[in-house]
Formats: sequence, structure tokens, C-alpha cells
Amino acid sequence: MMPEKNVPVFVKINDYKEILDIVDVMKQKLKETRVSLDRIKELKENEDAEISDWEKNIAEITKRLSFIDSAFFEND
Amino acid sequence: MAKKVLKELDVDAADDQNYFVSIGNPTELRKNILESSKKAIYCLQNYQRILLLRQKKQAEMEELRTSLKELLYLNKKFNEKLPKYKVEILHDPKKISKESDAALKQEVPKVKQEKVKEVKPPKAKAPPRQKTELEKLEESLAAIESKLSNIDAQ
Repeated sequence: MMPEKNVPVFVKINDYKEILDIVDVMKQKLKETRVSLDRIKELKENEDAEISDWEKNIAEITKRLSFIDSAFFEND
Repeated sequence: MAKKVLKELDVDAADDQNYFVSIGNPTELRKNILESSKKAIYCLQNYQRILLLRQKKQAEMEELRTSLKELLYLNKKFNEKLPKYKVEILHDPKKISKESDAALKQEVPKVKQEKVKEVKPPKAKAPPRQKTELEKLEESLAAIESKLSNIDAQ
């Protein structure tokens, strides 16, 4: 049997025009989707940066607390 | 003198208030305490900023979802615009002229009948479990996969 994709398909001219319109709208939507995805990516990067900053701050607190602890411990 | 020392050793816990512990380098200690407070506030600021970013991301994802749904709808419309041929007829050009219109016309009422059947409410049965969005998408995907495999098999 011949594969379906190799068989020519005939589309009515009215439908053809509508298909072209649909394809145009699809292109537009796809562009919007790409922009949205880029923004999400950017926001995710910002979030990752914030989390990394968070980690640094917590490490700093741990370091300082360890100093405070040792300052008290020295007197024991 | 020895009696005085013994007296001091007998003091109970309440008297501990009168004893002091010296802490070396108090300035550095204070500085460290203040710095850790500062960092704790930075952490809270981080938290607030992350919340805001997540809200923005959520809104953006919602927008993306809408766009994708519209794309899916357009894809469906696009597919509907393509002529619906029976594959067997396509391979036999002689049949096209005779059967294509008749076949299409016959198929239409069948679809309508199926739709009518779906509308009937179930009798005294437990309400069907609502499908989750993920399950619906899985079903759509399975339908597309089966169509694709049909095309590949031919």
C-alpha cells in the first residue's frame, strides 16, 4: 500500500484561504509562545540567582554564628 | 580565709546571678551578631523576592498555557479543513469520483448518532470520576499517536 503522505490532497480554494489564515494565526501564536517561554526562562534564572544568594547569606550566618559560639566557648 | 572560700563554694544557683563571664573581643562579637542579623534580613528579602518571581512565573506560565491551548485549537481547525478521504479510496482513483461524496455524506449522520448517545445521562450510576487535565492530555496524545501509527503502517 502507498503511504498516505504520498497521495496528493486537493483542498477547496475557500478552505485553502482559511488554512492560510489559520497558519498565519498559528505563526503569531507560536511567536507569542516563544516570547512567553523566554520570559519564564529569565524569571527562572532570576529565581536561581536569588536562591544562590540565599545560600550565600545562610553560609555567612553559619560562619558568624560559629565565631560567636567559639567566642563564648573559649571561656569554658 | 579557707572558711571564706568554702562559703563561696556552697552558694546555690540563685547566687549565680552575681557571677560574670568575661568575653574577649566584644566589639568583634557584637559586629558578628549584627552582621548575622543583617544576613538574616537579607534572607527574608530573598524569600520575598522569590515569592514575587514565582508569582510572575505563574502568571507567565498561565499565559503560555493559554497560547498553547489556542495553538492546539488552531491545529484542530487546520486538520478539519483538510479533506477527509478514506485511504482505500485514495489509492484507487476510479473509486474517488463514485464513492468519495457518498461516503462522506454517509459518515456524517453516524457521527451525529454517536453524539446523541453521549448526551444521554447514565441511569442510577455513580457519577463518573472527573478526569484530570493531565489524563485528558494523555488521552489526546494517545489518539494522535494512534493516528500517526496508522499513517506509518500504511
